[in-house]
Amino acid sequence: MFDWRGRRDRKRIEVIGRDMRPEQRSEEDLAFLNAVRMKAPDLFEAFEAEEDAMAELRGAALNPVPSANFDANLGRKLRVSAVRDSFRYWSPAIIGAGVAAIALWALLQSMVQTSVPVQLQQQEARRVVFPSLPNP
Amino acid sequence: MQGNEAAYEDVRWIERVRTGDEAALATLVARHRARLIRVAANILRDPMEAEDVAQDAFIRAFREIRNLRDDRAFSGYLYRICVRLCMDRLRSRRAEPAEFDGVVPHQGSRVENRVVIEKLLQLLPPDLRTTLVLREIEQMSYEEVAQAMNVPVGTVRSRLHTARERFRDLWLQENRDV
Repeated sequence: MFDWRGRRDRKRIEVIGRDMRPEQRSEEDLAFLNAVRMKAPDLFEAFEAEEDAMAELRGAALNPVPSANFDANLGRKLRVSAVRDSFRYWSPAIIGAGVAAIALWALLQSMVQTSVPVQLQQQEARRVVFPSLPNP
Repeated sequence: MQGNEAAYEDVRWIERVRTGDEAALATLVARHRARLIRVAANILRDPMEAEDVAQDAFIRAFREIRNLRDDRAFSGYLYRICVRLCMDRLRSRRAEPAEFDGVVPHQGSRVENRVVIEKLLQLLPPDLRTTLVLREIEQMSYEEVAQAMNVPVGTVRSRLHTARERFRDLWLQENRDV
């Protein structure tokens, strides 16, 4: 029934330990474990140690009660998140509009600057045309 | 993560949340809050940090609620986010050395056992620790653990095998030292 060096039996011990809670084990499983204890005490010891460690782990489970301000804090975080998301959504449009405004302003500036020399030239021309009119 | 009936119940609330119903949002939070905090607390071993993570998980889940393909999967989606956030925190924590040198030697009382368990869990890598907690403490099925951790079921089995062995060895070592 039991070959403690056999791969199959080792696998079965592993499956019983890992996949089954103590209350889920059948009579057959328990008989198998008993056989392991009799014929391969070292293997059974390792199995039992793992069982004990898991029982301690389950015994140390935390079950905290949500704090009284959990919902209020969550509500605040949700509002902050909504504002941040809407900013993230609109920020490319805002940045784009800003860039377009700067470009337009720069264009207008350059147009104004290029028109100034023309006016100056016209003023010069007037001076040249009427340089020395005699006073009547 | 939950039964079909509960999943269908969630679907009703999710539809209302999409229309901007804040009461539905509060109900959805109330339905998952306790378990989400418990899962995070057991992975992180810190109830305060667990609340923070649970809130972040809710925020991320609600942000994506419009894009959810199957509303019945909301609960699984929520727990997956929570587990991922917990693992991120565990990874960022690992750079800091654990301070347990001052712990009273293990005498077997409930509180001392809890401290020892926390110490031992800190010695496990985040993926093994999370698998162990979800399976052994939260008693999730392999499929649920796989879904929460976004890995195949086979990976869960092998991680659990390794995690149990390592935890057992650490536990034996701890008791031998005492």
